[in-house]
Amino acid sequence: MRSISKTAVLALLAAGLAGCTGQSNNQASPSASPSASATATASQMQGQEARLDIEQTTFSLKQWKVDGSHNTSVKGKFMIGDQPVANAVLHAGTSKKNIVTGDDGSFELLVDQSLLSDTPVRVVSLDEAKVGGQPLNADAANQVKDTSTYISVYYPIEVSEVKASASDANQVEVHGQIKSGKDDLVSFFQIDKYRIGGKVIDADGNPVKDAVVWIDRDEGEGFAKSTPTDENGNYQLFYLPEDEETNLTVTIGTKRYTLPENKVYIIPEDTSVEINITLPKEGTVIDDKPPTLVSKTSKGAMYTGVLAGLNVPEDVKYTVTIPDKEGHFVLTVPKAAWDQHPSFFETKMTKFVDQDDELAWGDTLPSSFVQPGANDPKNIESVSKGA
Amino acid sequence: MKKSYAAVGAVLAASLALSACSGKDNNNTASPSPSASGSASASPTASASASAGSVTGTSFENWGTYGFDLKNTRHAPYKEITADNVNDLGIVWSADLKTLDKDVKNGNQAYPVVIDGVIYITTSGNQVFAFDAVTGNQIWHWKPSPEQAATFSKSGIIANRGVAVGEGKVFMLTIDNQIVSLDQKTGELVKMVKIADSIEGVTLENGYYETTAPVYYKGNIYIGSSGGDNGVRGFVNAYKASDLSPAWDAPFWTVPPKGQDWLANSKFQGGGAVWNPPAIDEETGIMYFAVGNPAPDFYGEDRPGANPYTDSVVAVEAATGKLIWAKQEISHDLWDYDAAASPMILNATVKGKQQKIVVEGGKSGQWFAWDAKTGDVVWDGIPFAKISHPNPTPEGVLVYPGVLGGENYAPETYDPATNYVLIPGVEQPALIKSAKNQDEAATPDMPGAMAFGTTMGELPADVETFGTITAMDVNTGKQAYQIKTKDPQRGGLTSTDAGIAFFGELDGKINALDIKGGKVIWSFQTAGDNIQAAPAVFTVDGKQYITFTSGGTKPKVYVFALGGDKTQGKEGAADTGSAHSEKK
Repeated sequence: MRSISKTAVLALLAAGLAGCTGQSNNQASPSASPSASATATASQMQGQEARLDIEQTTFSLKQWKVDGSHNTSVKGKFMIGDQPVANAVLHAGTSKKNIVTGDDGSFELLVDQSLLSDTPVRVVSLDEAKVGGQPLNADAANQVKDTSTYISVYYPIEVSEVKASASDANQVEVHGQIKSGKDDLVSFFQIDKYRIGGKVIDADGNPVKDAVVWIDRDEGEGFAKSTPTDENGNYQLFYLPEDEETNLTVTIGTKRYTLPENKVYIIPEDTSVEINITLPKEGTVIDDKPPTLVSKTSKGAMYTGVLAGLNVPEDVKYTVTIPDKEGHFVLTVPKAAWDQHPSFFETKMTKFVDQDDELAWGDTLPSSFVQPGANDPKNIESVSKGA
Repeated sequence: MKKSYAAVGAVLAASLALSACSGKDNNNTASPSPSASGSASASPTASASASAGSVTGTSFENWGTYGFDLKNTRHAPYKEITADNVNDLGIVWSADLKTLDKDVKNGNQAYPVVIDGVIYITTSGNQVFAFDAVTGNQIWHWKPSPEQAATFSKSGIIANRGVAVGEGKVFMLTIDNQIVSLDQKTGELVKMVKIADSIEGVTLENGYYETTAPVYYKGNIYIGSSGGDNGVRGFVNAYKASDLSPAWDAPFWTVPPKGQDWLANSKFQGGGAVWNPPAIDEETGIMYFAVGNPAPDFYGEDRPGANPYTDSVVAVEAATGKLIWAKQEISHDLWDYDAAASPMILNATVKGKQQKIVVEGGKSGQWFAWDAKTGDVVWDGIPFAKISHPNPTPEGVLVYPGVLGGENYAPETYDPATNYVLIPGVEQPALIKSAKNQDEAATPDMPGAMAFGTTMGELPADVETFGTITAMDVNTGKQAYQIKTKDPQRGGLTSTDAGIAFFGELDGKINALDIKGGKVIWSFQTAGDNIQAAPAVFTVDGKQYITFTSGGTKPKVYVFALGGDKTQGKEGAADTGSAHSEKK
């Protein structure tokens, strides 16, 4: 036993020498593969809890700062009972960066406090992991491989008042505030982009599938690309309008249709538009007059902003207002659901809203509109004002 | 012959672990023997290729990375080609890239990398070629699948600026935001990963794309991001060369997230693309990169303040991405004045003293130098182009430089003998209109849709367009001279210890400049046009070669040397990069 583990240590040392500058992954010495008898076994760990201990897991959202101070480093340890797990590979959030635990099970993470998020931290590999200097055998690895935790960054939510709804006795109005740091503007909810959408058809009036509509600015350097047309010839793209000459092209495979030479659009500002395109029977120049090119303004816009919502069962319908600049919002929710003390979620949402009237602070949204994304913070306990 | 190679190869493989630790990441380790392939780039596979005898030559001096060295100095210590014999330069071989593969796209901005007698170039449309540098024999060729190519053949911007080579692999970024690693010896795909797998939302649909060459350093490759003018959030990130997994905890974001700091109050904002490779100081591990303009480009009312870190040079720890310093060239940019070209790190004489500095020329037509360690200003915006830029109005104003710069993506070179930085310049004004104030332009609350149509494009202003090369004396911060070139300088410069600098022109000419005298001493009309990337210089068996690519509608690659074929081509049509063509 003793001699075997000595060999393993020597092999490890050799691997360490060979693998400078982070190339150890593909330069691991074959002799480093451990002998089966020298592994930490499941039975040794029976009843021991595997934990990813992180010194701080919840953070208030802090605005982006030019000096980078919104980034915080946090330390953690991967432990089984009181034994550190060395050389385990962890991932945090959507980044696939390999975070390798040290001899004492320690690791360090960078938290970007400017981004609303739940960042799961989980074990992705125990292949090289060691407990008490010994590799984990398959059973032991299996037992601890699902160890995880998460780090949350969110705006604290404060509830100032809960009162019965004037219009429906079964509902309560929850007056809340998304709280920002001092002097920070919390909440914003505004138009982010406009839509260009429409239909691409061929000269015989049949919808064209898998065509892509591109616009690019003649003087500036921006461009936007549509989704490929569906079987009905429908496309859409979201763009950043600037008041200038804009080229439009349609590509199907390698074929590229354009407007006539030196013809451009100046696309109306502050509105979505519909552009319906009929491709020519011959050649690649689109005849830029109705009925082969029909352009008109249309409703709707893409919005981006921070919204709060409640973690309630899907069949519980509620409404929430768009927070104002200070983050004030009102939720109207069935009293029975609120009495279950649901937690809040926050989301920075980007969504196209297909309506004439522009959405603004204070407008009421249905719960079906306000859905958290996979990485949005979802376990926010509100505090009562003055508490 | 082959046998002796194999033996050397074996010794090399054994000592690889040691040589990989030497910190030489520029692939340029000069060596009189085949052990040149023992540089950081060389894996056992590279020496195997030498033993297979597929590459001409036995000793090699390289152009191992985008900017020759990681400092991006673009200055090679080769001096066989001199002012005296430069007229004896001719074509050793050239290849028409569309003939080699019909799916190669128009336009080419690839900066060749040359390692151990092999030239690696990319093409528009993200193909990669490896050529025997001396014979032009194609060693391998990689192209994306038709499905992937279909995705980006739809793009208006399909240029690619080249590869990085390290750990026996060749790395390229694709227009649809993927990182490709290829086997350096065979060109076979090792791995392709989507950047969006590690950084959410980095997709063509969201306005992101990639044109930059990556850079390899200490086990990582470093990438920037294009798409600033589409309002994307610019970033730099590091990936492990071994498996393309992220090497930093998070990307370095060049602008705030939407809704925060200077992006608190308005829509359509962001920007800060990082168009070109960073410069890396191997002594300190500090990396420097240049950041593009804020969006929207010409309308700044709703993005108050200086808009950090747009139009800036930023220094970060290469190992972690942690900010060290950032210096802005243009505060609150309204003219699309990116810091586009890669910065250079120089050990130069500055104000009579030796100093390590970082320099960058902006699209603003101004040239800057900072202390590499502290970021303290050394030279603050020395003009090298006509500068006149009133604030844009809805009616339009003529601004100098125009949206192409100044200095665009084309890199500078540094000649230590004269202590001159040579700056490639564009003299082409632009008529810029601001977007209308949001209130003026607000859509009335009217029911129903309003029809609109196309209109005639405005003819470009009748102005003189040309290029310049400015020799900036780093010691004094003054121009030593400026020469005028027929067309804007879009490719950049490369210099050698013989005191000459090579640069291409948009009409397809390749020229040599006597750096000290400021005179063009050699000019050769190639059969291609639109040379939009700077040459690479290298040697094989002691003989010096120059290679570069041309773009336009007939993209080509050339290798020149003394004694080559002097048959010249027809003058090409310059595409100055105005409307309808790729920019930056």
